[in-house]
Amino acid sequence: MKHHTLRWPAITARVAAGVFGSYAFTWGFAAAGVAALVGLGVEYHDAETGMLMLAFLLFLGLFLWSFTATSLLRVWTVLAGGAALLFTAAWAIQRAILA
Amino acid sequence: MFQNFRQSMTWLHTWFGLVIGFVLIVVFFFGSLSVFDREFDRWALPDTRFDPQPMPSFDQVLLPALQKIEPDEADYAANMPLLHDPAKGPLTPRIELPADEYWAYTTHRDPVLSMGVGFGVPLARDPDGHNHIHGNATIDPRSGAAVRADQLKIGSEWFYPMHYSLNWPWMNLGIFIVGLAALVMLAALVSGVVMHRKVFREFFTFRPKKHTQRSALDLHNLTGVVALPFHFFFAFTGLVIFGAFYFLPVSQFQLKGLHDQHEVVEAAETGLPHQAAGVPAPLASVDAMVAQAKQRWAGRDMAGEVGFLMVHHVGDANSYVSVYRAGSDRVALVGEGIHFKGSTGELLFEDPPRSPVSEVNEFLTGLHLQHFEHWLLRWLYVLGGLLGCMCIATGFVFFVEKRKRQHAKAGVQGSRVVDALAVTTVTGMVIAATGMLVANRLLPADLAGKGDWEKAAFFGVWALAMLHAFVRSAPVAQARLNPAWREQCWTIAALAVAAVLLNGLTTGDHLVKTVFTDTYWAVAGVDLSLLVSAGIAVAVVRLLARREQAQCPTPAQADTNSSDSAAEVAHG
Repeated sequence: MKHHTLRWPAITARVAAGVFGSYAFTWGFAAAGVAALVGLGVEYHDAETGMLMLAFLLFLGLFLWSFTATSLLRVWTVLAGGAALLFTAAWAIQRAILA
Repeated sequence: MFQNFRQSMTWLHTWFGLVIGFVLIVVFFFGSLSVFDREFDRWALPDTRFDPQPMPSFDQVLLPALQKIEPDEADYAANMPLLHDPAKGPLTPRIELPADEYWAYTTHRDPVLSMGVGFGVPLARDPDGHNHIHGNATIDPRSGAAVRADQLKIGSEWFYPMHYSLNWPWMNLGIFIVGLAALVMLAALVSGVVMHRKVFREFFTFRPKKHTQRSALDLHNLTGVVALPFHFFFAFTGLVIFGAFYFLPVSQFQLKGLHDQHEVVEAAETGLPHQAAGVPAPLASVDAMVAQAKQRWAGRDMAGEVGFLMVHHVGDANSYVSVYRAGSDRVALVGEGIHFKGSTGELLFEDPPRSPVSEVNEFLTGLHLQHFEHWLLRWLYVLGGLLGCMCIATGFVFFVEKRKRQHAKAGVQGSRVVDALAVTTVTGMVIAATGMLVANRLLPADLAGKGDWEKAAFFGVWALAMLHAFVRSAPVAQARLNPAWREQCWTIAALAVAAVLLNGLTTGDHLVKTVFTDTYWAVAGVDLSLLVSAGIAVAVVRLLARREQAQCPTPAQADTNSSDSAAEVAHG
């Protein structure tokens, strides 16, 4: 194994993506999922419980993928972009339901 | 960053496993001890060594005891200024706060009963908020007499919170670190399987006669594989249990609007008043409500005892009483709550049957929290948790063994530091726990703030173990064993035996009595486990002493050894 090829900025960016980027995406997924299910008529706490269970498995998957993906740029694009999209979707669905 | 998939998984497993492993082993070890938290409580508080009691009469025992509880001074000092609005009027003195909420809780393993009062805050800043200053107490349910408040329930108030929060309450940071550790545990399991393709074979592979690096890796793989579903399950459900509250609180932030709307709808459906009416009213007999709740449970073919009882809006016309069933006969943590009008005792609402989603959730969390009665399964939990500790500890040992010769040659201290930290978190942690038990028996029973002294002893002893581990670590830099491993095993054995002897001397509950003449398994179990730990520690001392003697090589031998093992690792 060639550990000397690893550079600290690259490692930091990967770890940050794995922990914080994946977390942001997971949050967006949970929020958008709960809002969407409630919109479809599912009881709120059922939607919350179900989505949270899925969300932690998704978090695990994203965390692992952050380290296996070859392109760090793609990792950050998917995680940050996806998080922003899902976050907005959750906000919009909630607004539509409460309106 | 990595050349291939397997390499990225190896990197992840090695470095996250190492850094987070120091947290994970604490979580696993104190989780294992928490399986018997109530039994440690009995051991530490000799005046509570009697049989578990059912929930006593509310009207005769609980209510008088609840009325004696005062708001906690620290809680009042910290939170009263935040909750009270000075613009609306003067601050209410601590002992004049009105009781707003009563609760009482017990399980099938509790001789003593926990109870508490939520005191209302008059002239609150946010009248709709959760404005409570708390006051808690533990009583002997046979008499209603309070158990001293500054005594620490070492099992349920120290080992258990250590498991999920590292006893670091500041900004809930401990809980978040444990949450991250749970995620890393899941990732370590997945990456570990990827790294080692031959999962099935590793199930049966242990070569204790090989050198330390090989046998440590065998044991790491064996313990990791044999308990893999158990470890995956506990890390995952741990995340789920705290998910909605700490890790993904979408309902408290982004979806607060949606959540609050649902609360209003739900309150309307249940008919349970969310707010006090502001009109005083007396409390009817709660015992009569409990009797009716028990009848209704029996009618559903699930007769049982009360586990949790709560009075909302105490003294108000809107007061209602919620009675929950103790779930000791099933895995799922269910309450089957029945709610009564406080002033009349008439039935207001029965919790409806659960939805499939919440049934799955309650089964999973119930299986983690194990409030059910099943002693064999309880011991299997301990075994699974300790296998997790072994897996992590052998991971540390393998990390050090793999690198220490290289580091010795290069003159770097990396493996020496990791080894000292491993000593601190493996044997040092056990010393801290047993040291705390010894302190519990040595400190005078009437010492003011005894619990705080015990906590200080726990961290003080642990810090000493860390100091010792670093001071003795020099041989690792020359690719030899740190004698601190062996010396700390001696310390564990000595402390464990001392704890058992001190328990017998100071309380008279020696093993002959607790096992044979006046059987009391809670205390006997802790004593016997301490003796088994001492036995294991002595066995490890002997093993380590042999290894230390065997590996006092001349520099030339050390060189051949290291090239041998390099070849073996390449093949392994």
